[in-house]
Amino acid sequence: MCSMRKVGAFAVLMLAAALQSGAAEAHDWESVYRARLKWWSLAPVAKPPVPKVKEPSRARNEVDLFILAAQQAKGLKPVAQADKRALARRLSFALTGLPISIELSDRFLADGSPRAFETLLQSLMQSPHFGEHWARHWMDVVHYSDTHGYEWDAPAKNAWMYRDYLVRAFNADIPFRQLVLEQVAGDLIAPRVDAASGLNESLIGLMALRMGERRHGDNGDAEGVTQEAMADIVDTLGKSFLGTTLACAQCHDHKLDAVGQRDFYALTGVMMSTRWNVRTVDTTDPNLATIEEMRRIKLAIASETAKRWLGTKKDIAEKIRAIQPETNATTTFPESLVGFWKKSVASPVTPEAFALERARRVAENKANLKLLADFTREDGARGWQWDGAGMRHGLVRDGEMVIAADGNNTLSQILPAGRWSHVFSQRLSGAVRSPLFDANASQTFSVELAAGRFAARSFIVDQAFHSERMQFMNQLMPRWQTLTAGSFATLEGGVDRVPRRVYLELVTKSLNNYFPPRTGYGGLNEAEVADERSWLGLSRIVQHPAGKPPLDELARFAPLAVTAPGKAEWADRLADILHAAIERWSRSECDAEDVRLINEAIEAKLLPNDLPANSELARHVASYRDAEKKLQPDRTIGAASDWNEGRDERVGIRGSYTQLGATVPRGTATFLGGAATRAQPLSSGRLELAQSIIDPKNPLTARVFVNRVWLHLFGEGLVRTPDDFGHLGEAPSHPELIDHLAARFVEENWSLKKLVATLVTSATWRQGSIPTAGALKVDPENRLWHHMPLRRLEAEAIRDSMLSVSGRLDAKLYGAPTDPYRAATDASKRLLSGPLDGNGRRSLYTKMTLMDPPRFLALFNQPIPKLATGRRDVTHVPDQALAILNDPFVIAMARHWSERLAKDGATSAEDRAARMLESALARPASPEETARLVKLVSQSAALRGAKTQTLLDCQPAWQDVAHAIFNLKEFIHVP
Amino acid sequence: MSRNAASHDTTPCPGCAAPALSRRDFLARAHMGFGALALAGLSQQWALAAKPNRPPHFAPRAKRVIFLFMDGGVSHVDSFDPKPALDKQHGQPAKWRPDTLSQAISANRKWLKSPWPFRQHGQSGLWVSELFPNLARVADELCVVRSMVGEVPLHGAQSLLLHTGRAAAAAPSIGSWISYGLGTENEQLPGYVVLNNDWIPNGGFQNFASSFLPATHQAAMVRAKGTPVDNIHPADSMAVQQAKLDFLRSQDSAFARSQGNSAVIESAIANYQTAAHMQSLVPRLCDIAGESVDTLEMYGLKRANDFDTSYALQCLRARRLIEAGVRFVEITCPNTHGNNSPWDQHGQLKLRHAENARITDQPIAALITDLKTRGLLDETLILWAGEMGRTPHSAGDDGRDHHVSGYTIWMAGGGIRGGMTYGNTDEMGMSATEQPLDIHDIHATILHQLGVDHERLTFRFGGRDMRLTDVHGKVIRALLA
Repeated sequence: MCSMRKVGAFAVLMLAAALQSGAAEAHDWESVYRARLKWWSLAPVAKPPVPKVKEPSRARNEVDLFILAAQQAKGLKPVAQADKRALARRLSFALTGLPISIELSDRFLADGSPRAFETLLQSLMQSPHFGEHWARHWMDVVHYSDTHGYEWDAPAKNAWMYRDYLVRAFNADIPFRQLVLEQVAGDLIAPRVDAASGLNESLIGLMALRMGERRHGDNGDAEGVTQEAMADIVDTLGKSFLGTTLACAQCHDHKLDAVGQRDFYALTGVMMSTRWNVRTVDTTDPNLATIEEMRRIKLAIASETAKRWLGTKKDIAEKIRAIQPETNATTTFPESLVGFWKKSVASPVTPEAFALERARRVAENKANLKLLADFTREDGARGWQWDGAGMRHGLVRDGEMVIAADGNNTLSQILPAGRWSHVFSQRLSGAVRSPLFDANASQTFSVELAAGRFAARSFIVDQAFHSERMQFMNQLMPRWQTLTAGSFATLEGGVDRVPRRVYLELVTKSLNNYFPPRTGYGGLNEAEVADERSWLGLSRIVQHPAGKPPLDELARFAPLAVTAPGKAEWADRLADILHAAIERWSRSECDAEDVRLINEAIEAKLLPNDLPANSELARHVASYRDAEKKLQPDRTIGAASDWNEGRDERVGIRGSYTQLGATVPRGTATFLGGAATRAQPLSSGRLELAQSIIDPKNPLTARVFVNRVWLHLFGEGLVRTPDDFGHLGEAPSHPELIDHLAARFVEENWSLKKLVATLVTSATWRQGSIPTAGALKVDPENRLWHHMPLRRLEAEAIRDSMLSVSGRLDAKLYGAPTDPYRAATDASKRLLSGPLDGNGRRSLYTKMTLMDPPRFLALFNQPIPKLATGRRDVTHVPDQALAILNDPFVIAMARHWSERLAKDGATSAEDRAARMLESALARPASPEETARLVKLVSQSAALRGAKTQTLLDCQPAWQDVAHAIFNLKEFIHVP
Repeated sequence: MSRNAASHDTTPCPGCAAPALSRRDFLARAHMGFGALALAGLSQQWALAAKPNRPPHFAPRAKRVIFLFMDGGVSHVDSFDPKPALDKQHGQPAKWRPDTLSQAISANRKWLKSPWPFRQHGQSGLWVSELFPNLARVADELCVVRSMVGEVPLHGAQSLLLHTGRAAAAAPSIGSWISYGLGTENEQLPGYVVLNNDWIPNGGFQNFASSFLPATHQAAMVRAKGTPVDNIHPADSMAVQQAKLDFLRSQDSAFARSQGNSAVIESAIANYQTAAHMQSLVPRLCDIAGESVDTLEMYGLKRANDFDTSYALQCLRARRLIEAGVRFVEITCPNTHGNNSPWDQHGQLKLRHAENARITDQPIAALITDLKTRGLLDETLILWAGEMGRTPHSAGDDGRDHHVSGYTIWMAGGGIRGGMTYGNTDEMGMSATEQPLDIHDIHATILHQLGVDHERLTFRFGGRDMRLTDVHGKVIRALLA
């Protein structure tokens, strides 16, 4: 990416651009652009004819014909095919990232049929570990990590579900075309549902673009927070799918490729018009039966409670009388049962005063309040949206009880009509999100809500991921809360800026992008982070002038204005009102005023709310709580949504965030067709963008993908710059072969597995790994594939091999990540340490924290997940040797292996040593090698004072052997 | 697992003499011995994956750099940039010219005078506040730049900018660039070492990473407490490890032969030699048992507080590493109280700035003095810098916020002119008004002193010839001796 805030001009590149584009005038972008379209990777994919070669019998399939033709042009020949053992090991690592099992290898060796290799291929391709291995390849490209780095390393919301999505997708061989659609616009297409889990896979795909470093705060705090994130998204999008460095055009037209600066802002417009929300991804409701059961129990609880309350009318009056009334006259007008009682002695409210006050309040509300959203009805909150399983079951009428989740109370509260996430459980999620506000005009409104357990509200400014405007809400009883939106252009001075995009979000923990927030935020402690409970709900939202919030109209106290005969005593009169409300509630005829009255009474402890031991009520509540435990919380992940509120962006002059040029219609890049007509005119255009990426007329997507697969299988791409197919990337070594593969890939319905099968069954892939001196002279870089290069295992495969060979591997798929083992932790950034052996899980399941990625894996070139990395480095540094020699994980694996040997039934040291080597390297040990190992174990045993006859029982000596085998170069290299 | 550091081993510093070798033929293949200072460009083990190292572009004034990272942002108006006007207007509502680098003016912000009086020191009369009494004693060595301007008042961005020249993108650290550009003087050691104090600064590990440069040039992290370097202590006794290395040598060479003497395998084998050396060399370098009592006292290693001694230890180790030929040594500050970052005093300015100063002041002054005594200061450039300064105004009465429109750093040694100040901020310490510099200028100047033209130190990545200074930076000749 270019330097973000400054002039991104590069002297060298200017020169190169001038030379390569035929010295076109820089200001004549149109003609420069047209010239640049004549570039190999932008030309249509034409399925080229398969070349004729000498000795066609050397070829196993069409891939080989292209390779042979190029070799023969240079007088080269491929080396002989690799032997079966080497091939089996190579294939297992290439397809699954794990060493081949002895059983599979033996079966292959015993299989004399000409299709033996294909049989082995099929078993490895059907292994669920295939999906894990290929998921990891793609995770490099989208720079997967479980956190967002920067200052506080905030979590990438349930990113691991996306990792699991990839595993399922590659195992099921979902067409890559579909995966593109899902990862760019999964919210805008028909959901693809995983039958086993009921997950909406399409929505999960959207996590792809969210990966990377994200700041906390928003543009209102520091201009550029979101622009930076969007630039990262555009960069990833361009490199991953298109092999194009789109983000190079942030500050100026691309120096060499057919990407104008306007393209960058067209794409940014799409991304800025997208809400990066957390969403529920369940397509089925696993809780329906349980909720029915809970409804039934609740009816019983309600009837018990009604009985109990209706029988306590006298007690109520007594309890009211026990409250100390005020002895001095006060002028505040009472708004509660207790308030009226307290005033009843010194300054009782007269019927006249009450009527006057009520009329004033009604009139003021009528004048001031404008209903913005009514959540008491299914269709009353136009423009607002809710999400979450709790909310789905949460539309209630006045008087719905909420049973206390624990403790010795029956109820938490009675709800007024509205939508509430916790009607059945605080573990079900809820979100309410507003339409965009006018960010320039300050706007005051009030929400009638209740919420608790770190449900949060925040104004999301300019699609911020981690808004520090977030406030936790803690309000047990529903009340009006007044909020102000707008005026987020806080910087003073003459800087140019576009209007902010601002909306309100009310969310429970699991639908909150910024939960858990940085440690300590808002008084949150880590135990509360782990607690999955959280709840919120609301009835109505009204807009009003500042300082004119909704007034309590006191309707519930209206009977007080009519003095009933014989009821001079205030406590009795108040008890009557309450009793009448309870009666209506018991008949399901109550209104919001009754609800408020009853809640006031519960709060003031005027009504019994305890659970008498051994009572019917206690039994009902216990069984209700038991049922609640059966509920499955909905699954959520950071995704995206499109609210048809799209808006075009302005060009940032030289990449500036505050000096803005012309407005650019949002849409895909010009070389992919430019801004298209949108099916939904006000939508972000993300769907059309995704479609332009998979458009058959776009030659890049298939070319870039087949090259990635080639690179993973062969160790180097046909284009060696897999993320850049532009002028600054490398030219393809075999342009016709890329096109052949790209065309075939599309014909075969974008199938990864078919592509992999085509490539690994070629004679080219099955060659030996030792080049001839002559071939090296002609083609030292092996660009013509005259041999298969020897490769070092990838970081994950090194660690996984140790787990596998030692017998510690837990082959389980999926799940939340495990913290890596850390020598030094930092709890304030949640950089915690996990078990040394990672519970035996494959490296794929190690938590990738952006701030401090797993060190053992990073040492072996697992890329730092900040930028798209289609091609990993393979370095050789002494730290790697130190790690295998001394790292406690390696030692632990050696110990684990040696401890298992006690039961291996070995008859001699030779026997055991040979079998160990074979299980590690998938080939038999030579007598010489066995002798070396036996020498080592004898030396070690002698140093430890063990006697020769007990050699087989000397576990530490065998641990040394295991450790030495891990240190073999052959262990981490694949010929 | 063995955890025995070579603490009982009194062999002198490898920069001075070769230790006695006890390992047999395997180690005997390690040509040149530990102490040999290989010239730049000969670092075979450490640079196997790298492009060949380059000789300097022109005659260098300095050979190496020590970077004292004042993480979180030291208040310039409380340290090296005295503002009498702040004293006068203390408590008055603060107003300033709005700009995108500064926060919004709001009614509750008031000018806040420094709690630490300033005095002039040394022959040069350099202004230093009472926050740094020991640095004041070496004032004549310091070249104070008061006119630094950053890009955005946030820690992560500024920290990355300071380290990599980029506020956002993943670019290599300056230490990696220098290691890449010049190579290490000692092939058994990395070119870039971070002496860490158990705290990863904002911006994360990226601050120290090689990014697109070969991984060889990434910082090696040396911890203050516990095991200084990951995996450096042998897991086995010498004899057992030797048996394993013997086995590996015969088995691995057979494998290399079977693979047509593959260069990849040969280099992997060579790494085991280097690794075996490092196991004794690195702990010895980190071990200060052989240092005199006077030295320990001078650096403040005898102080009571854990943070104090850790930082002092790292300063002393920095000198030892420099002597042994490491190109770029960075020392981070300890984070004493779970703050965002050590010097980030939005509140508790008096308490925590004083605490940070107490931890760092004496060891840094000792390092300068020690290097000078040993004749090493001339060829060692010291950079003292945080990623930002702090606001001269405050919403409270004991804290300052992020400030990048004008702040202070200093350099010493390495052919930099001591006892001078450069640039200025306005009378309130808000904006750099005279000779504003950005961090690319400092980077360019440091490279210049190392004999490197910042415009010619490039690496092709993503189709561009990338530079530490991006498209910016100028050598500031007024700072040179």
